[in-house]
Amino acid sequence: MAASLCRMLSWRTFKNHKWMTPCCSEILATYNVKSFGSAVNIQRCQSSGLNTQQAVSPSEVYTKASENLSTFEAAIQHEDYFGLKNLVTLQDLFQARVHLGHNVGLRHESMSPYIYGTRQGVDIIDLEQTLPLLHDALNFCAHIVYRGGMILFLCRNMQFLPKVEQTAREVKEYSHCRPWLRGTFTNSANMFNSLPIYPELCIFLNTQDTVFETHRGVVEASKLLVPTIGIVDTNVDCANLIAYPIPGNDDSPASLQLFLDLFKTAIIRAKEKRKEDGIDETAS
Amino acid sequence: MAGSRREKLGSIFARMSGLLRSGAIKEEDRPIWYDVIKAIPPKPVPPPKQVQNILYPEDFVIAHFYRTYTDPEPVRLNDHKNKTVLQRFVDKYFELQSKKSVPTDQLFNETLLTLKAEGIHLITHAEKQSRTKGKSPVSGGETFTDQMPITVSKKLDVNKIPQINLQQLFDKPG
Amino acid sequence: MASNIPWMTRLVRMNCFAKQRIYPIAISIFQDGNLTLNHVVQQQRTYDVKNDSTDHGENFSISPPKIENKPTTKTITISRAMKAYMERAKSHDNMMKAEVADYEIGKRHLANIMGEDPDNFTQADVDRAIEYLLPSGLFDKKARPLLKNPYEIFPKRKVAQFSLDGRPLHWLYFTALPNFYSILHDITCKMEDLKALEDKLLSENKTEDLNVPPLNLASSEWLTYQQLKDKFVEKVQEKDYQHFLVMMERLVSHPLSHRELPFIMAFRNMLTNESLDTNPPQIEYDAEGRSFSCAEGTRKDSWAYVKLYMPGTGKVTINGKDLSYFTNFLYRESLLFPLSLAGVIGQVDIEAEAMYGGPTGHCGAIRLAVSRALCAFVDKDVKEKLRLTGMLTRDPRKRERKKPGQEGARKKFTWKKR
Repeated sequence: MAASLCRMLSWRTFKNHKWMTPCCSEILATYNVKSFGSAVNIQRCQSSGLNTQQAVSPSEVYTKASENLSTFEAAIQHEDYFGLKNLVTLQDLFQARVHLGHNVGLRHESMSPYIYGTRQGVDIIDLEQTLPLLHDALNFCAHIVYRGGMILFLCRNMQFLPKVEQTAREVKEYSHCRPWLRGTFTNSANMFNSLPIYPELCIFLNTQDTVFETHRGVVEASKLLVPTIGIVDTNVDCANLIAYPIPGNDDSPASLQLFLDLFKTAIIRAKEKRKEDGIDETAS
Repeated sequence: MAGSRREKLGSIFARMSGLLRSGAIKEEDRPIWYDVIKAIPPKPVPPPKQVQNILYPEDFVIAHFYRTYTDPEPVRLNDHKNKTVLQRFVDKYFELQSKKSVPTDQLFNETLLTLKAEGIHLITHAEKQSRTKGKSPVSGGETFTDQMPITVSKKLDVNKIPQINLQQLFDKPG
Repeated sequence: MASNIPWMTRLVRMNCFAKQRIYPIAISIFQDGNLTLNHVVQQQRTYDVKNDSTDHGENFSISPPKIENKPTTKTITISRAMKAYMERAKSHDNMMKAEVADYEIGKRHLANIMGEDPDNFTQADVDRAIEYLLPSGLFDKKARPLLKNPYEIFPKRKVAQFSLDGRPLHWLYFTALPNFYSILHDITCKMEDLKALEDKLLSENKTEDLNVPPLNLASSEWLTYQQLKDKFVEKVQEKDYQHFLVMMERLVSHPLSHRELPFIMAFRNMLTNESLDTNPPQIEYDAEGRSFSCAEGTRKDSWAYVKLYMPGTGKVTINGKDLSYFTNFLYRESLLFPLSLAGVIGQVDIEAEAMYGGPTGHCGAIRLAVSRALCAFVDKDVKEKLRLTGMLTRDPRKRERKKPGQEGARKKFTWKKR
């Protein structure tokens, strides 16, 4: 029992489960009072088979855990738990100029299935394909937030940098719109001098670092099994590395603003649901 | 992170499933996105296809218009009420076409004449060229507008002679 | 226990460190000797990098205060990263405690050896004692033995990077330079706000705010590259620093930048006026009631001490001789230059004593001493005049050392190809 609890303690997956309450409060109490000594106290607490806990028996622990799991299950079974389906229509996408791609000469072959056709030398993205993909991506993003995941916004377009950072800050998530240092994920332990911390989802608002290069973060996230959502324009060569690609225009302020607003709404709704369902007790 | 760093082989879901199946990562240690991606699987990538050009019926008319006639007048982009000359040309063409009273090879001519009756004068490339050539080197920098011929005839009598001569030259073969 | 180590051994160890150019023991002391997490959150702690391999290069992050304030009924799980951190912090803490004890004991031993009161032995006393007991001929001052507070020696380290549940505290955590980049972000936002405000004011025809004279930042300068790095405790690159400067200049040049003055000044160093009166010579009176002032001066290896009597008759005495002490006329002239500048030639008496070095050094040293002594008698304008002509500045040039393989500092041995 103690061993399994230790394991539970150690992984963020289960961090918000109610069954943790008594023993964790104990740990917290120790932590508050004794501060630096807390590491030892936690270990002692664990090694002694949690003698200190009185209120909760093991069976109770699991029932509560499963209760919470079932909340997640119910949420994910629901077709549109966060009401994101009506958030955006084809008309909105069209008006935000999401359908405009690049010049034919810049097209990457892997993007050809998402292209509706070429009009006067410019590729037009098939919005009928974009819309369901966008819905899926929004839903995925919301579910990750609902389960307490971290979201990282990435964008290497200098024009949109302040806006993206602002949005990330507003929704209390993370952003990285600055030059990507190689190894930010793959060499994380050395770069941050701690055990590696990865976001649960990377949202790439454009996937190109420069006009010629793919964003290194796409590759690194894929290497380290971090799911990604990416807006892929017609010149993008890494759509296969992105878990949820959204074909669309990533160079127009209007389209970027639309995408940012959509993700922002999705995250906010998920956080509200989280509070409603009583999962996020820290938020109150 | 356990597992291979070969990012190009398989999706992240497939790789994580492999790690779970082999026991490298225990079931309870699975990351939070795993269940979500399982429930909302990414749509499969459609097979590559040949991208077609997008063409509309009016493209044929527009192409003919620009091949034959010079740019009419500057377009006011913020003016949504009045139609441009090109738009009127295209509309008229399709109007005549739908009437079916005009033979197909006469449609363009008929459109031109109808527009002329409505007070829109279109200048063909050939006409424009002849006018440019007919101008003396003195007034070479000026461009033609609708008012141009009047002002030219009033003020510059010198230009009259070469213009007439040239006109005669053009008339001969016709 | 460390206290059993004879203090001399420790000093010798320090010396070894010094030779290898490794930092000596550095210790941080906390008043109660009992570290708490709160404690650490509040102050930027420094750590001895060398002593423990497990601690090498670690950033110790601490939970944010908001979590500590939470009622204990709240649910929280401690992330793996946080647990690892806490273990490291624990072991590090033990090491630090031992080092604190060592430092204290070393200091007391030093005080005893020097025959002073161990309880009131300050850092200045420590430095003096070490210089006396372990004289070092090593050229580089950093290489000489020293016993110092770690805050002065080691670079600051970051605290608080992620919270208990493993969520980074900073929204730009993944950029690796969160503090720096958040400032860049702030600059951009402020710039945008100012632009919007400018448009608004212009449209409303309120131009009085726009006609404020531009910011005068002549009395300050931007933080240097090193200062910026220290401020953010981050490895900012040189090109990023240049980028920062460009953005800041752009903000400053905006007509409404005076609204963001506090923000701008946070990244500027105030330039201090070179004070004329740091240690001005005082007017004294001798037994006969004559007023005089004394000053010292140096140039090259020479040292001079000057007594300047005013009013006087223009009598000059240098090492018991008159102005003919210098055979070179140039020296005599340069000696009297500050007097002529102040317009007091013939109105003062000079008694000078010069030592070491040669006539050039003597001349320069006396000139500096005379100028300094003169400051006691003349008014502010003349003093400023003296300063601007460089009369009050010590000539920093020194004899250049001879190099091996050549005849002198620059001169080479005679050499013929064949």
